[in-house]
Amino acid sequence: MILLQITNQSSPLNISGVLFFGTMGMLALAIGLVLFIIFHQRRVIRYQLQLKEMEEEQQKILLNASIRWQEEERQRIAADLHDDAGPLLATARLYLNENLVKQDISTQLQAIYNAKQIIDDTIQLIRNISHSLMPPTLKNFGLESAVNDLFQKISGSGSMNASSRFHDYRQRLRPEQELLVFRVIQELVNNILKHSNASFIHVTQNYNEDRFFIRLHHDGRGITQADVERLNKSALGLGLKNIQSRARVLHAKIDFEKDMSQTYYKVTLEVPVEEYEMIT
Amino acid sequence: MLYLEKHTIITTVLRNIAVLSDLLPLILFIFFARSKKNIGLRVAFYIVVFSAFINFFVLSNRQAREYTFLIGRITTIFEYSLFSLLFFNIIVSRAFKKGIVVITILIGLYLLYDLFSTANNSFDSVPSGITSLTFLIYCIFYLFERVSDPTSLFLYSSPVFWVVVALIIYFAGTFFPFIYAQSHMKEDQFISEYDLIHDTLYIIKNLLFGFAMLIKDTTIKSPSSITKKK
Repeated sequence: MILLQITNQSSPLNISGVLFFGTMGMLALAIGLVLFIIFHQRRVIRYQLQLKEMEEEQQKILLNASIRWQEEERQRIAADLHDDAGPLLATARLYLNENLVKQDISTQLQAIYNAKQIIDDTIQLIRNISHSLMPPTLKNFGLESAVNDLFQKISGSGSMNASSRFHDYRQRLRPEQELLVFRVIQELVNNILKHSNASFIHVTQNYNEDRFFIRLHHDGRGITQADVERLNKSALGLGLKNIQSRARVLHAKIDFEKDMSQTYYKVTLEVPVEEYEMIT
Repeated sequence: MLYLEKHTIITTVLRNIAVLSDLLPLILFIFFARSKKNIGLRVAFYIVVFSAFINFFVLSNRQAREYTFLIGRITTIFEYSLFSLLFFNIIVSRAFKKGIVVITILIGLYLLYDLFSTANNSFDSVPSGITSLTFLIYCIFYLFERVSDPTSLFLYSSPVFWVVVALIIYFAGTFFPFIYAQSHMKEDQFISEYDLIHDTLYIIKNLLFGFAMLIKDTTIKSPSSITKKK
């Protein structure tokens, strides 16, 4: 308005000034805006590339952790078979060796009885290995029973008070999902037993809208999300990385935090169920 | 006196370059454009064809020169319609699109009213100023919409971006000359300054249009990108 008033009364020189400065100002604004957009875009692209690199790095760490975990599991099974089943079967073979026919009947019977006992132990051992690979309770009766079973065993040992409560598990997850959730719980419990020195563990289950929740509380030394992120960047925390790769397969979110009261540590696993068909 | 002579030479040379510069995007679109179906390039092409037609055939005709201001008003309406169509297509926000429709109708009616009711013996400063401001707002909204969309990467590898850049520079630069043209078009110094500014920006606009014609539309979106329609 002021510019217009000045222009109306003024000489052509003033119009020139208004034209020059007005045009330059508008051009500066327009070019400034375009440059801002271009540089902002470049910054966004750089940021996205960094994010991508970090994600790839994270994926690599998780993959390595998964491979290492598989190798450790294989070594454990191999050790169980080699150290336990191997000597047992070798002993049974000793009892049943060629010299047995030369013995008297009572020695033969005793040897056969001993061999039978050893073979029974071997069967039990192989059953235990098999159960550790795939818990039969989980397969036959579902996640709730498997978790209850696991917690009863822990409580039964007397080292810790372990309890679980499933509030709403009328609709079961799909078997492969149940196995993954069970493995996550197993790994968490394992970590608590090994590192936390807790006196109790309590697991609760619930549904909220389209989400399946598992919450695990304990009163020992725990970790928070910041610790998890720190461990993710290092080669340590194989169990945690396994938990995270399983959570990733489930498209689930896992949060490690300290309770509001600052007394307990809490781990929450949140599984979106709309992506996974539930079975009744 | 010497200054004015020099000025006249410069403005004449600029005018000729400006008129010829229409050919650049035209030729590039016909022979080299790799994304001919792109709405930005099409609009730029139609605008350039129209401008070239006006500059080469109409304004070279002495009789037609008498109707320069009328032709200017018709050009404003034509450009306004095409650019509104362009922004309607490239802006994602549904609310803003509705706004574009309403504004286009209102301003379109005003432009028609102005065309038929005003004597065609002066520059259409008010319609030009209003349309310039409208396009500047559209351009700024488009750019900020693109910036606020974290999924749109390499924005400047899109021809539409360069068409919008050409428009924002042209309309921002010519805003003041357009506004003052109606009342000062009879002053020689103003005319030479107007020509200097307008023709320079006209050449820049055509250069940017030409640059846009050469760009292959390879706007990259991140994998999670799903265009959110508000």
